[in-house]
Amino acid sequence: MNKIVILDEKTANQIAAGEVIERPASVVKEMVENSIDAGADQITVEIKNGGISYIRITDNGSGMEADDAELAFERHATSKIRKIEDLDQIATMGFRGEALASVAAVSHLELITRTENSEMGISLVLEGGRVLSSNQVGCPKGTTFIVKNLFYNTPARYKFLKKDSTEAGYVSDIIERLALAHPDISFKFIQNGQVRLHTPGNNDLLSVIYSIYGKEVASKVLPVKYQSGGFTLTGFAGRPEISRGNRSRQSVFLNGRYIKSQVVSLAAEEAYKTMIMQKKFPFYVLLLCAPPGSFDVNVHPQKLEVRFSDENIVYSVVYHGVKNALLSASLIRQYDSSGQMDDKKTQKTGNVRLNHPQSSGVQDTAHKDAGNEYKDKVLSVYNNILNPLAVDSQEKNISESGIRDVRHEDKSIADRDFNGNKTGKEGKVFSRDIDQKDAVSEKENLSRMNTVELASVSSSEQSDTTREISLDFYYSEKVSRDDSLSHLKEAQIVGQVFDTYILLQNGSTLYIIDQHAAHERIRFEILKERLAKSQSYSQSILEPVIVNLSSTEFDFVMEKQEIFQKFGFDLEAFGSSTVIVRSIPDIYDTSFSVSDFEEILDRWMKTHSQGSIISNEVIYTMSCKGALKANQSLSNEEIKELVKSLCSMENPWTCLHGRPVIIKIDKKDFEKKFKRIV
Amino acid sequence: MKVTVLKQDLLDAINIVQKAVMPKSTTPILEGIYMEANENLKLIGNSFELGIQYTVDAQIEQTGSVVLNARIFGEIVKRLPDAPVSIEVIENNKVRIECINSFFEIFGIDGENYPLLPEDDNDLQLTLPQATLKDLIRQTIFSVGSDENRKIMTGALMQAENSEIKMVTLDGFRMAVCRAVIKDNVEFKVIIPGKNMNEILRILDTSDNPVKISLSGNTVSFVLENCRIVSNVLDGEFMNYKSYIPSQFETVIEINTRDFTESLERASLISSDVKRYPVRLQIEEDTLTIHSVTDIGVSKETLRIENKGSDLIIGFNPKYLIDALKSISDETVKISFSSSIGPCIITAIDNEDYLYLILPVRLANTR
Repeated sequence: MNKIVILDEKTANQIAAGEVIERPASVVKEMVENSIDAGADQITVEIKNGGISYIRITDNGSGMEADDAELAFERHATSKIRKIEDLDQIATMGFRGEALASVAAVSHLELITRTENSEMGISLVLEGGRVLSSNQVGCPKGTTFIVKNLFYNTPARYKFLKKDSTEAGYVSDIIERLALAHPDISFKFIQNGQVRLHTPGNNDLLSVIYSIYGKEVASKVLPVKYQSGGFTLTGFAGRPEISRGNRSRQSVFLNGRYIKSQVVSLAAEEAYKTMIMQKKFPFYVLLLCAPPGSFDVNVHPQKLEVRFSDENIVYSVVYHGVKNALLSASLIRQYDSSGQMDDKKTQKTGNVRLNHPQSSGVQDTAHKDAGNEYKDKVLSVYNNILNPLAVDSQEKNISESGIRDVRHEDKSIADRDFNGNKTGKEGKVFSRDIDQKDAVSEKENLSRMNTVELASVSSSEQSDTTREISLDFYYSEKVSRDDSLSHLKEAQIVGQVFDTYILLQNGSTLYIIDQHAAHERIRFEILKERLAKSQSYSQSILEPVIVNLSSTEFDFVMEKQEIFQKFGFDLEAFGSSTVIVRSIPDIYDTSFSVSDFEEILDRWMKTHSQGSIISNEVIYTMSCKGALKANQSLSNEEIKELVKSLCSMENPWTCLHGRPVIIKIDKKDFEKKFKRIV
Repeated sequence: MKVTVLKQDLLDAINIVQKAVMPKSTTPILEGIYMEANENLKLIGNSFELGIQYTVDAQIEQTGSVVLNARIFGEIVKRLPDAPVSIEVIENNKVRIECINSFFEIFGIDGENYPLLPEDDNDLQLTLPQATLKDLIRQTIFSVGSDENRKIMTGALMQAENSEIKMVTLDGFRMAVCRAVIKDNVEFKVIIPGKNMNEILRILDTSDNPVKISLSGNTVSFVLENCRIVSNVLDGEFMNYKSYIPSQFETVIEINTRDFTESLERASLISSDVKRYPVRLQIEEDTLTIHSVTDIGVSKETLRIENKGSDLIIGFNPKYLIDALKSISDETVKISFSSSIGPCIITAIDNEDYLYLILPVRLANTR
């Protein structure tokens, strides 16, 4: 008898299902991605018992024809690609044609679908991948999947499912990510009959962040917008104070797909360096838009990991994008007396404008006036010109650098154009050029306005809850960096308390500055600049330091030998994997050892920045040593000078260890403390 | 125990032995000073790394021993009037300290459990005048390493052979070697922690009174007339320091020690607090130009020298040159440069009593 046999299809499918379908969350992910690919703008996910006994996914997408519906459950059946070359230009979430077959193989499945052109929909009932019945039914356009009794025929897998609540948590994570990636789609997540999440789908990422993380977080994020080398980065970076003890609030999306990427998180965290405390991780939602062909998603079965062809560009785009966002905003921390942001916000009167939270008040009014003039125009041409315009405005905004509108909603759409239709894109480029010449200012205003109009139009169409959301949190105050700093600069010195803190007052705001932290920051930035500029001398050492390297490291060092030398390292190769260091930069002392060199090398290779050759720790120590200490009394002249130089710093908000330098207390907070107002 | 001792004698003794007492220890007894009355009064401080025993003349009425907290005991004695002090142990190790009208009764600890200093019982010993040893230490101690990761460098090598004693220290950027002649013909090699050498340096005086150095087990002791210092030694092999000394020199100059030191000190005035700037030495025939360019400004001065080699431009951290030059008492020194990127050595004109080796800083234009 033969020992080797071809497995029957059922068994093969179940094995394959194991790779893609691990738990209810994987079902939800695959199905929702299908819905997104089908062009749906409303997706409802309902689960019971953590999705183990019941998952329903309903969308209003394109639906399937009756013939396609049955074929869709075959393995490697897909509408998304035709041949392997299409993968390079992939714009859809899925492409392998495995998901449906896999889910069907391990569950009781029911499918109800109708396309726009069909009069009748079709209902299919499957069990373990076999079609039990197929009926014509009346139903709305779109597709509904009902997955019951997941893993009923694979007890091993079933056994490894966690508690219902844990599985529900995984499902919820998946939906949150998908919602963040697709602010243009309204997601509704129902768990055991309760609505857990409902995003408005008004193309506003901030609304999604609000829906998921709440008001507190949504009021403390800064818009990110950066473009370089064909990559565009948008999204939001959280202010340092909403950092968490783990990375669970970090999401990165590449062309609409949730990914985990070491380069991206490394770059983002590097940008936060010295702004947050150690062992804290920043909040961010970053949407990276990369040109097709610059990355490969077909590395991981769940498409979580991505390979970039040039990690350096990705690193620099993310680093600078996040850094710019952080540096362009005022990061002065507000003294929070009650711990409740709500009261404060409802009392803010200055900024009444909806849906445009990122501009300062001055900018706002200007645009609003301009906006009214263009309002009709915008509405009429919106659908036609939004995309090219949006891309334009992104480029413009970056060059202007002062404007920080959020235009992520265009991204997903622009993205699809970009990927899908090459000739169309060329045509747009042409028209874009004309646009640019003819009506630069007009376009600027238009592009700024269309967010507003779109959002308000769509929000008026939305349900009541949605409107409530958008109304509420746009009250949150967003002050630009420059405004905030000039406000601080003009503040009057009240004095110094405990010989440690400087008090300043401007209008109804009291600023408190930690003098040591402030001076440390000033020294750090000055030193860093000076060290970067000044010539580095190289001290010879008595006993050469011999460093054994891996072959990648060795090649790296050899490639960068000249830069190493410029910074004061005199090194030479010794054999094929060892380097002898004969002299070291003069900022190091006699304790320089192999591990110091390895540390520099690690950091350099990871961050791709040669600035890392001067260890930040060395500069930290130097800055701290010479800085003003606490318990040191200062004259008014000294205070003035300190505040002045602090205001000219790149990052005046935090000391080197991430502690705040400045906090502010509003008059209102005092009044609350004294119960003048309640 | 009951003794009477002059306040100043007692205070001197306390100040010396206190250096060996651990300021913070998990065992209270180690934070104390041991006192023993026998023929005279003996005080001991011991932290195992360093132990010091000091004897003072005292009027002994009753023998015995006790341990008192070093900090408190020291502070009390320091503030007593200048008169005879009576110390008496009454019941339960309570110690009564009386001086004219002052009276203290403080709790002590039984002296029985105090770790006494090991007795030396070894033939490996040599004797030299205190002043000579003090000079040896003073002239080398500044270049001892401070990197705890390279323990050996934090110690000073003391080596006796061929009727001569040598001390060597090095920290990675520079090295100091000094020697003195001794009468004993012994051979030994020991690495003493730099920290302890500093304490010994302070205890030694500049007299010709003898100090006996003896080696036993993993300790080395320095015995003076009324004081005995026991230091632990560092395990391991000291660097082969001789291999660092170059044998070929491009340029050899002779220069006035004091003038050169002062010039270097002036040049380093404009060095900033955050960045060490090197001085640039330019040797052209019989002149030496000392040039310093920092972010604060520029300095330049010229000295006459005697040059027995070729012209040269070389950079140094001025501190290293100054440290070495300041420990030299000769009017003129010889400086030999191996090359513009190689080490230089500073030696006496006509003997080999000292040698300082300093590694240069590579200047942009000499690279």
